[in-house]
Amino acid sequence: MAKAGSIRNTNNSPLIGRCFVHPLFDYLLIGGGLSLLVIPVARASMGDRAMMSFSMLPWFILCSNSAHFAASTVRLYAKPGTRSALPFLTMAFPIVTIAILTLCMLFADLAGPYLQAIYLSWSPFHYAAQAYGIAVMYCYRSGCNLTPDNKRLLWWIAVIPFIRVLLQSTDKHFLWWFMPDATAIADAPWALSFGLVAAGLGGLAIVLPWYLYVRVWKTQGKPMPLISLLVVVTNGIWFIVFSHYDAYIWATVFHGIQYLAIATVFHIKDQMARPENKRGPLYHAFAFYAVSLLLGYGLFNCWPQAYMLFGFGPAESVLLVIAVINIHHFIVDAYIWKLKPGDSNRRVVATT
Amino acid sequence: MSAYDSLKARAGPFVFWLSVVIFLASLCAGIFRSLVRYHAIPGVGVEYISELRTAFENEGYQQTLPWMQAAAQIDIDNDTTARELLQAARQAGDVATAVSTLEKLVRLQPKDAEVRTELVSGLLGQGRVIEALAHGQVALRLDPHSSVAYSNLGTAFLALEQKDEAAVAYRESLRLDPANENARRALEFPLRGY
Repeated sequence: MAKAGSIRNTNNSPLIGRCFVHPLFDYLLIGGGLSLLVIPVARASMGDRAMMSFSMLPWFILCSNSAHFAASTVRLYAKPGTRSALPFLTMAFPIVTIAILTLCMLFADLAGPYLQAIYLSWSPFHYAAQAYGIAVMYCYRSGCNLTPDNKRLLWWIAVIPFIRVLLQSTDKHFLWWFMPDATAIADAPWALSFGLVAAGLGGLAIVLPWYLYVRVWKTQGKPMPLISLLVVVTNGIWFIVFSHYDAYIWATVFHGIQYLAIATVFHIKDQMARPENKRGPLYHAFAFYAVSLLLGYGLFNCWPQAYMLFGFGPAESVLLVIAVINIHHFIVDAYIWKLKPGDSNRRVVATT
Repeated sequence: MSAYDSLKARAGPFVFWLSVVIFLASLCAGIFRSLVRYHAIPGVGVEYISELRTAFENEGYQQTLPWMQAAAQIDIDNDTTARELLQAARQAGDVATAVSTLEKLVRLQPKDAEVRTELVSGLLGQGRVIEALAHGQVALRLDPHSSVAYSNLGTAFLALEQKDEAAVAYRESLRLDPANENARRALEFPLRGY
């Protein structure tokens, strides 16, 4: 426990909040502040489609995004108590996932588009939910316990970018199941309304977090830490400033960095709290990232090749593996970050 | 502990380790395939497009078509796969596949005037005049200076026996591109006097 205290944060300003490592680390990596610095520079130097034409992008995706997907699995098995608390998720879910993937692969024409639609719809929701979760977590650990009303409002504000994405590209998400082909034939009568609503939501996603911030300060007599505001605004900016494809790529990379940062912090704290621990925080950080990176490479780059070896088409092998890994990650995440009493997450969040 | 509880307690780890073994075996198989095919471990980029291209070049259109169709069907978020299929269908002269792929591309890129115009031509070729007219009007809104879009619209109106509208469209097409033979011929014969 003494080692756990070595990454103690000394800044307890109510505006900055209680950071895990250092305000710079927390605000830049976990809060997403780094994206607000990098994105304008990248766009100014390389234009709107900066990411799409970036030759190093696959490496960025591997080191950030692929590693982050694997990190949830690594955390699932490394987190103390998960094997007894979540027996289905830890024991049976991997084989269920493999079986579902193989089934979808066998009926790729039929099941593939639906699997894709589920994962593409779930992604922006997952990003929004992560932003909400991080915002609430920082409020909680900074002593600003949100009232149920404010919490609900924060949730709705956080999911605005998700709703906007659904409205903007109806044929790329689960709404596509319900959209008639006619929507593509002509400028559908509702296209303009959808566009206006989406533009309005874009504005609200940026403005409403500030309103909530003032409201919490007024109604609760204590401000939310600024990182809670930052994380929600940043997620909005990713999906509002960029075109559909670029938004996904920017969000993917910075969401991955955000996730890896917070997961590494929790992993270090869990490992340092183990009575038998003999290693320092740097060792645990490096080990966690190395395993995540290796697993991420295996999942995204080696696994599809296996399906191709068994005779499946290259596209379904790649696309469906990506879709299933995403869905597995979303489901695992929905369980491993809960702050239930007795859960090690609660201890990590409550202590510095 | 009952027999059921005992079985349950043993089944969990068994199922887990079974999935680990299957997964690790798959990874090894994947690496093996990459080593045999590329003489290297799997790369970090998404390589299915180049896999499809290679298959198309080596095995021919008919052999690769189901793979390509599955790819375009699944990839609802990206137009690269559909464009790949379109190119292959064009090369092979497979009009039906080209038109169905163009329909998919229009859904993926509803504001792409070029794709829309090509779809209209394809639909007209298949005699699907009403759909061609609907798409043609959108194509014209997307690119009001396209001679081909006007010419397509003229063809659609002509097929519907709306000769006045057809003549207007063809004249506009000819004004935008005096070398448009399709419009010139239509105005000379079926639309003479309109």
